[in-house]
Amino acid sequence: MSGAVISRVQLAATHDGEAGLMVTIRFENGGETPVALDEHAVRILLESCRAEHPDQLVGRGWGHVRDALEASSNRFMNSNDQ
Amino acid sequence: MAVEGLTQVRKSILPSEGDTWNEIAKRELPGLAEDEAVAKLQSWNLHVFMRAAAGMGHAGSANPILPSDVIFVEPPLAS
Amino acid sequence: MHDLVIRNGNVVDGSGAPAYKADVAVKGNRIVEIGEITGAAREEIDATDKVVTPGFIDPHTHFDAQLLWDGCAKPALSHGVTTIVSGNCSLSLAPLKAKHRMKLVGMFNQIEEMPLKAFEEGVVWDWETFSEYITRIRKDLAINVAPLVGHSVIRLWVMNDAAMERTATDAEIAGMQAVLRQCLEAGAVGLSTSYVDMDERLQPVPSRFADAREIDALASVLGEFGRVLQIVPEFYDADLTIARLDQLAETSLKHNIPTTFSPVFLNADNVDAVARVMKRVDEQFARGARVWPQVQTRPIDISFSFAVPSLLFIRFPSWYHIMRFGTPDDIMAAFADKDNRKKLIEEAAALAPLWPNLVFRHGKTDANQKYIGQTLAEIAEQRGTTPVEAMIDLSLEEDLDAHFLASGMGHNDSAAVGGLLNHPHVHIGASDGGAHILSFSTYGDTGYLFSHFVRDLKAMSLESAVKKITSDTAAIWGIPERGLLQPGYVADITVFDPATVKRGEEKFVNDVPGDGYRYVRDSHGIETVIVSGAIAWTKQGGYKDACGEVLPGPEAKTVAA
Repeated sequence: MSGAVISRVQLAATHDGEAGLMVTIRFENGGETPVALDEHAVRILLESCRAEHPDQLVGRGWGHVRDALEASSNRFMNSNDQ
Repeated sequence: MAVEGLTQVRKSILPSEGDTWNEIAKRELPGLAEDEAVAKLQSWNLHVFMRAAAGMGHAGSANPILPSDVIFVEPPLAS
Repeated sequence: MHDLVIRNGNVVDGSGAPAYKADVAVKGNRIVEIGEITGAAREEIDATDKVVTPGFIDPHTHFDAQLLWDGCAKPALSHGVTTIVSGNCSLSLAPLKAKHRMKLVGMFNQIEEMPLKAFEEGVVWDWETFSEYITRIRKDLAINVAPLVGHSVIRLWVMNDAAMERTATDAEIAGMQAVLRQCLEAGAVGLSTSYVDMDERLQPVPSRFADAREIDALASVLGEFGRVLQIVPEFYDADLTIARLDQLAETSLKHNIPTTFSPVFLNADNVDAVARVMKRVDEQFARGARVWPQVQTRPIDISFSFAVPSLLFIRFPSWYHIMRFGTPDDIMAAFADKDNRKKLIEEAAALAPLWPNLVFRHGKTDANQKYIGQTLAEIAEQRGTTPVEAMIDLSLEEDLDAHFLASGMGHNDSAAVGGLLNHPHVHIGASDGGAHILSFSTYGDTGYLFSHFVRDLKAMSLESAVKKITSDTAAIWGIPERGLLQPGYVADITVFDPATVKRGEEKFVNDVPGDGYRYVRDSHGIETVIVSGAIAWTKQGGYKDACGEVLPGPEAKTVAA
């Protein structure tokens, strides 16, 4: 299993003029990648990590981010099912 | 293959027709156990999860990878 | 006799050459002479102390719908913009079968915030093909339009619902090539595609279901005409952006076409990432590829109201919790409750520098109209309170429908952005004119370029800035005979006062069909705008009858490389 973890969390202005959360994932080789989360995904991520504050996300595993993104996206699925 | 004049960047592929995480893992990371390879691939490609995961076929399909997705087959390069 | 002479102006001709004093004479739609012009003219413009430049070209807009009820693309023309590129990001309104109209309406609503009622009341659907759409908009056109055709709509045209489900068959790809060829022959300036956008169901737009084979096939048709491919990459991640620009570079080299991607913007946390992207752009240009990154001039603002949860408050648990989980009544009650209010204000103190600078941008009660455009510091002073309390009180008074703006929250390091705009491979653009209409104004970026980066910061010369948004843009997009002031060129001309030019304050106006609203900015310092030899807008007289053209036009058919 990949040991990548959240290494940094920053508020960022998005192209659409909204506030987004930019979560940086740090990998075992030292490489880093940014992931942009919208408000809904952030709420799910905070809940899944039992965090009250975004800074408490630092050190948590990348899987929480994947699951939050997926859950956030999938909230549209029921209404889209044919 | 290196191209003259271009510095090394993070290695990526475009998915083949019908590719799943498992298919890509088997092809691109053959030395790893499949579960581990899929986990690595997903951790390197969180952007694929940044959208409704309908993916190919129809809404609710199990395959979230789109034909246009860039799939990284290694972690970000360390600076 | 000349039709028009612009006298005594400082001519900044768009080539980057130093400004010089001269008169500019126009006959018909062409510039015929530049120098000391003694002969009389039917109409004269005194440009003493003003600069005379080619009309500005805005390469990234979404005016496709607005052009159906407003051939001036207001207020773009009043900002000195004489040519707009529409149809970006895989979305255009043609070619479009009648059965797909509501699909596109939904996509324009989701992606560009164009209200459904605007389409219901502002659009007569009398076209299907690209050629018919061009005929339709040409009737009332006052601004020039260089229309891209959207990859997503070509897919819909050929594949119907399967466009949103799967890759194309060989026959379908051949069908798309044929449709693209027809669009280019009808006047399209190129093709746009997107790797980011989501449709009205928040599903990937059709272009994202295309494989590399399809893109290559469509690019080969662009190669027949030497036309442009525009893409939206996953711009939040430098590795993804670099992967996309490498794909673009291979396409550019293989098919000998210009390509452009947007947006690229600088935030505090991505300075190194943008530097990596630009390094790759330079490497690809050195190979002969044309991969133009578009960079906007304006900073990014964040807007919010307390009716919708905003991550701006994520570091303030009490505020975020009530926004996230409270009903409107809960939020109103929390704001009104004395103890709760005290707690919220204490928590907000941690971000003390932000609050006074927030701007009250929109509210519905008559009593608060006088505060619109003012900062919370200014409002608080008038009310004898603090900025945070003013924000709370306004929200209560407006039933939470009070809208605030945190300006310059991104793309706001002027020195760094100025350096980026100056980069020889940076294409100034990405205004998004005609889009995001309920979130922020996408007009006046050229005024901001001249006021902020040229006049105030002196980060660019006036001549360089004009070149960037005129002849450079025309060259990138293969638009012949525009973008320069020189005899024989088409007379698209902007006259402005370099001492006062700027973008106006943002305002919320009710000028969208269907009683709709949008954010706009007026121009300041722009004196006269001329399109194809006719005065299209003046500071004193507003919009005039003019005759915009669809570009690049028939002369460009053989333009390549």
